[in-house]
Amino acid sequence: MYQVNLNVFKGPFDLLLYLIKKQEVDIYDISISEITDEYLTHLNKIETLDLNELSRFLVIAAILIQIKSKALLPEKEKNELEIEEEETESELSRKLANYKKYQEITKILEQYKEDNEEIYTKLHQEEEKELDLESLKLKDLIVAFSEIIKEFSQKEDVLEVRGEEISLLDKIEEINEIVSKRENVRFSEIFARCRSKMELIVAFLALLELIRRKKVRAFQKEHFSEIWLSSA
Amino acid sequence: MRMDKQDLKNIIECFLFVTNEPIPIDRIARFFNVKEKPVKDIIYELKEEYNENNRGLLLIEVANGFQVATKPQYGKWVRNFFRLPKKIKLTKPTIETLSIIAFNQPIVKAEIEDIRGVEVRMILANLLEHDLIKIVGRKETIGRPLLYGTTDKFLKAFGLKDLSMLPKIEEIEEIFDDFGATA
Repeated sequence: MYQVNLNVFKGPFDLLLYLIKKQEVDIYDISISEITDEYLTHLNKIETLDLNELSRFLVIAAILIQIKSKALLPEKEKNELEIEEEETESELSRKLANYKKYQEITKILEQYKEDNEEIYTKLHQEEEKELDLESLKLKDLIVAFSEIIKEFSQKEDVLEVRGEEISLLDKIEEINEIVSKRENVRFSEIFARCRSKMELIVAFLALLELIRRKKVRAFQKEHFSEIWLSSA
Repeated sequence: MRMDKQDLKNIIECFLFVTNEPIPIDRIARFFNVKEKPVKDIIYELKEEYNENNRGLLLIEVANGFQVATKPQYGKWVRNFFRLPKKIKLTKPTIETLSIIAFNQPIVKAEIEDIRGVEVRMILANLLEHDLIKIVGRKETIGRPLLYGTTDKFLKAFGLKDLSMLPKIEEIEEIFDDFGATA
């Protein structure tokens, strides 16, 4: 190996590179032109040219030049956009890693679910014996309604409001609102607020429509007891 | 009413058989006015006996309580006999959303969407409908968004004793770190 002979370093050229890389010799202290001048004089002195030796010198010299030029250049300042880009990138990869975690957990949970799929416990007993519309026939509703009409007719202080049109649509909306606001509403309550027979009938039709649309469920706790309404 | 330990054990077994919902130990202890420890010991003894004897039943520990249940290998017979509907199938995105809620509860929709990167409105509606999550309150920030958390039904569906039985997020993280180091 070609031996360099500088003030700061004397020895094999490749050792110099090694020391610079290890930062034991400062690249600023090394004059590359001095090295090349010296090498050129060396080349002139020798009689047979060893190509391997020559190319090894070139490689090491090139690396030294690269290291030195890098050290001499001012550090390029990152512009804001680049910084921002880097941030979004790291933010993205952080999010992705985070999301990946949940995907892993999902796999585990899927297995848990499968393991538990076929374990059965005591079936829910119907604590409240609800008879819903399947057993609560239209007839039951009509019977209940006719009771209400009968009561209404017996009232003496009935105010007949004439000319006022009660739209079925409005009534549907009104009942739907009452039922959806509370858990259970008495069947009779819907009609208690009606002021005419016409309104009673419209209310009944609206209720039937809501039941048909499955917006409202009618049920009773036992046969012949009060009918209750709840939003379905 | 005198009772020895065997009686107590048998009575507890009755409770665990009749109940619809898992019974927490402290509820039984309070009922008999005894400490939780002996009740717990008895229940674990029972659990052991169910395991040892070749029976169709077992004692499960889910949702912070205990309950007698059928062994999984006979589940399909039970299902067919009682014409039970198959248990709800949850899609991957649904379970994913559920796991995000389970680990971060209480959590608002926007935070879930931030993690998943997609909208979860329909999934949340679906989970609420199946009682797997519930609204636990509102976050005191702009718009006071709803906070979501998991339910006992969630624990039951996944056979979890309680939330601490979820796979540990640190463990998952470790696995990822190992991958990251080799990648």
